[in-house]
Amino acid sequence: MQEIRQGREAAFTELYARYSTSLLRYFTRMLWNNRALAEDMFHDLFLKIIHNSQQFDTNRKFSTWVYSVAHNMCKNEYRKRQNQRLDGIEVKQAHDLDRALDLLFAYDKLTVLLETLEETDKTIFLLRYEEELSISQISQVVFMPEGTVKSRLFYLRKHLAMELNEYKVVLKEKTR
Amino acid sequence: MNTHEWKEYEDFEKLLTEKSYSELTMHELRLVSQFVSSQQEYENMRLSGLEMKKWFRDNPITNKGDESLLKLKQAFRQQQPAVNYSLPKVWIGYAMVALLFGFGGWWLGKSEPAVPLTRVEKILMHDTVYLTSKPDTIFRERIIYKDRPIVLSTGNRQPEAPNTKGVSMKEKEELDKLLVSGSD
Repeated sequence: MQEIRQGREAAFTELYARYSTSLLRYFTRMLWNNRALAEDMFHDLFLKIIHNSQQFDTNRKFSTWVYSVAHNMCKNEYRKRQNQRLDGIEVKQAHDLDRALDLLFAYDKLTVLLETLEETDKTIFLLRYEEELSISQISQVVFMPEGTVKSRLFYLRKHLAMELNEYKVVLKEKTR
Repeated sequence: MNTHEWKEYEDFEKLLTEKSYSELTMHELRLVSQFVSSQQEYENMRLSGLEMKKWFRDNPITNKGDESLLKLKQAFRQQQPAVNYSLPKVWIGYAMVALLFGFGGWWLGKSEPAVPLTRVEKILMHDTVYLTSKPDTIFRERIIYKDRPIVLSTGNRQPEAPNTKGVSMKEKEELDKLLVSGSD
């Protein structure tokens, strides 16, 4: 980051190479698999890095900082859209089993499960299991104590296990 | 779920990924029991976790964004000043300080009254040493006359040698002269 501050383009390219895929992935998963929107947000994020490089505290870990910014951007986007969308279909908390099953057949079980998660839970889940950030880093990104992050992760895992188990059972019944 | 401090949650997560319930040691079983109440629950969580990882692998999101990178690079260049002044600034600073000192020195030198300078020239001179020597031999001619007692005998006069040559009057005179001038 210091080199970026000094205007070294090579440093910026290196940073882009290191974080672009994971950040684009994070945005895509967070923003209802809307690739175009994710790319816009991703582009905006890198512009923020360029314009606000002087504000970055070099004592902090870059990945934590950049995910905090990304998380806040997603939060704003969620605020804009109160209802979550999945390719035009409003998902809202899919407690209705039949509707959920339709979605599961149409799409993918984990995609749907992810879509049903609340925004912060989704962030915690993705950062931990896909981006493999540490609990401490996640707690800094979402501004929560580590204990809370751990308990949320545990309940998410439990929820995931339960949902997948139910899905398997219903899937068996439907395919009979 | 029992209330506990979540200290060992990360270890629990690790066990879920690495070991099935049957592979757990006694110590690990104790740890796991803080989070799940049955083997079934543990196995469900474990399988769902593995499935989730597989799903992430099977649904990759990649960035092919060379175009995006190019645009961002352009933005990056625009953000930077046209010339990077960081290095030249330092050199300009050094130059300014040098100029300041130079001017200060010149000004101080100018304000003092001029002192006539005496030109001192160095000349290299070679010394000549003349070695004198005394003549080895000093010749001095000197005639030393010594008194010689004249024994005059009257009675016992020795007979003259027959071959003795006599002194003529002329020679006697000269001898007398010599006798007079020879005394120092």
